[in-house]
Amino acid sequence: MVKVTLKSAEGDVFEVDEELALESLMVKNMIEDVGLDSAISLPNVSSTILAKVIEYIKFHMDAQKDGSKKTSEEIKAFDDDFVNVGIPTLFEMVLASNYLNVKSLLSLTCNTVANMIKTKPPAEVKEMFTSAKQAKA
Amino acid sequence: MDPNLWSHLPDDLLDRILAWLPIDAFFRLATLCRRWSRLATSKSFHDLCATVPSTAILFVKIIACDCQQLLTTFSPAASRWYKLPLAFLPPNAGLPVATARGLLCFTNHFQGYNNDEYTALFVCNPLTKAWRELPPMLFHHRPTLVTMVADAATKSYKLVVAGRWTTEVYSSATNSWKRSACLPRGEEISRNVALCNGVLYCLTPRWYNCSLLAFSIQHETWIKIKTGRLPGYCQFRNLVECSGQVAIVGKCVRHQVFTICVWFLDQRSLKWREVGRMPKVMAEYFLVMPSESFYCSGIRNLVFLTRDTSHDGVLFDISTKSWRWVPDCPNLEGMAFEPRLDAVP
Repeated sequence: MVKVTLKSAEGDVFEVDEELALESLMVKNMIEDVGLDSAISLPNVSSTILAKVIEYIKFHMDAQKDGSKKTSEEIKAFDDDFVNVGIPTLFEMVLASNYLNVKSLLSLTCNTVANMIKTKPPAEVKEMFTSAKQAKA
Repeated sequence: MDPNLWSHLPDDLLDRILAWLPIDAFFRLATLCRRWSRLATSKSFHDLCATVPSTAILFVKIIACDCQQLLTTFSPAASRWYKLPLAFLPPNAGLPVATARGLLCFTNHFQGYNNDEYTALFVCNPLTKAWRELPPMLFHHRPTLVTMVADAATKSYKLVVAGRWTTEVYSSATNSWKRSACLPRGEEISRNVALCNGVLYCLTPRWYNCSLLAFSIQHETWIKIKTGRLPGYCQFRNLVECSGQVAIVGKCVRHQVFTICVWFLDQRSLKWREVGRMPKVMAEYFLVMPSESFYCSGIRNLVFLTRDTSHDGVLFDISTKSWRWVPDCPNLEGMAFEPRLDAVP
C-alpha cells in the first residue's frame, strides 16, 4: 500500500494510506501536481485537527468497505460523537474540512453549526457572525 | 476563547452553514441583515442549498387561494402554522394540486364548471416566487389526477396527468407533453394517489373490489398490482407515501374498537402489514362521527390527518410510532410540501 506523508502546521508528520489521503480533494490535487515523493505540507491545519480529520475519513472508509458490519445507526452515532466538541475545535474543523475539501465532513460540520444556531434568537446569531467585521468596517 | 470566533468565518463558509438551516430559521435571520436577505434570491446560494437534503417539511392545507392569496402551512418540526403569500401568482392560477421538491403545481381545473373552459397548469416555488404556466396539455380538459415528481440530480421535474382514457406526461427538461400508455383495460383511477420510489400508486375508485394500480414514471406504463386484500373499510382508505413505503391509512375495527390504522405494502409478498394504530382514547374523539371521511397526507416518517368537522388534526410519526394532536387545524384537504430555495419551476 502506497503511503502519503502529510505535514501539519506545527510540522508534525502523519503517514497515511494513499487511498485515505485521496479523500481530501485538495491533497489529491497536490499529489497529481507534485507526486508522492515529498511530504505534503498543510500549513492551515493544526496537528490536533489533522488527526481528527484522518480519524473521520478512516472510520467512513472502513464503514463503506464490503463486509463492514457497521449499521447506519453506528455511523450516525460516530458522527454525532465526532462533532460533539468545543466551539473552537468545531470552528477549526469547518475551516479544515473546507481547506482540505472533504465534502462529507464539511457537510457534517456545517450542519452541526446550523443545528446549534437554528433555535437561537436571530439577533444573537447576527451578533455572533458579524460583530468583529462591523467593528473593522 | 475568542468570543468573536465565528465572525472570522469567511462569508462563503457562513453561507454554507446558512444553507443547512431549516427554511423558517433562515427567513427569520434574513430579516436582520441585508446580505443574508439577498441570499434568498442569489443563484450561488441556491446552488449551495441544492447540495443539502431537505431540512424542513410543511403540510399545506388547500384553501380557496383566490380570495385569500395565502397558503396555510404547518411545520411539524416547529409545531407552528405559517402563511405563505401567493399574490405573485396570476389570479386564474387556481388551487394547488401537486407538489414535488420545493415546487407546487396549481390548476384552475376546479374553478368554474364550463366544460369548454381551458384547464391551465402553473408551477411555482412559493419561496422564490418564481412561476410559469405550462404549455397546454395534449388531451385533458379535466384530468382526474395531477401528480408531480422531481429529479434532484437533473433539477428537472415531470407532471403526470391522467384521466379515464389517456395519460400524458409533461417533462420540464423538454418543456413538452407526451402521451403515454393507457390504463389497464376496464380500470379507472381516483385522486387517491401516492408517489413512492419513482412509481405512482393509485387506488381505483370502486367501493367494491377496489384495487391498486401503479404507473412507472420511467417506463410510463400502468400495471395492476395484485396485492393481498386491501385493508380497512373501502370508502375510508387513503393512500400515502411514508418512509419510502406505500401505505394505506384507513378506518378499521380492532378488538371491537373503531380506530385508524396504518398499513405498509410489503413489496416482496405484496401483503399489507399493520405498522401503526391510533390509540383508543384518541380514536374515540377523532372518529366521533364514524361515517365522516378524513384527509391524509404523508411525507418521510410523518402522516398528517384532518377531518371536516373538527379543528383538531393528528400527526403520526412512524419512526417513534407516536400519535399527537395538532390544534387549530384548518379542516381541509392537504398535501406534504418540502420548501426549497433551489427549486426552479
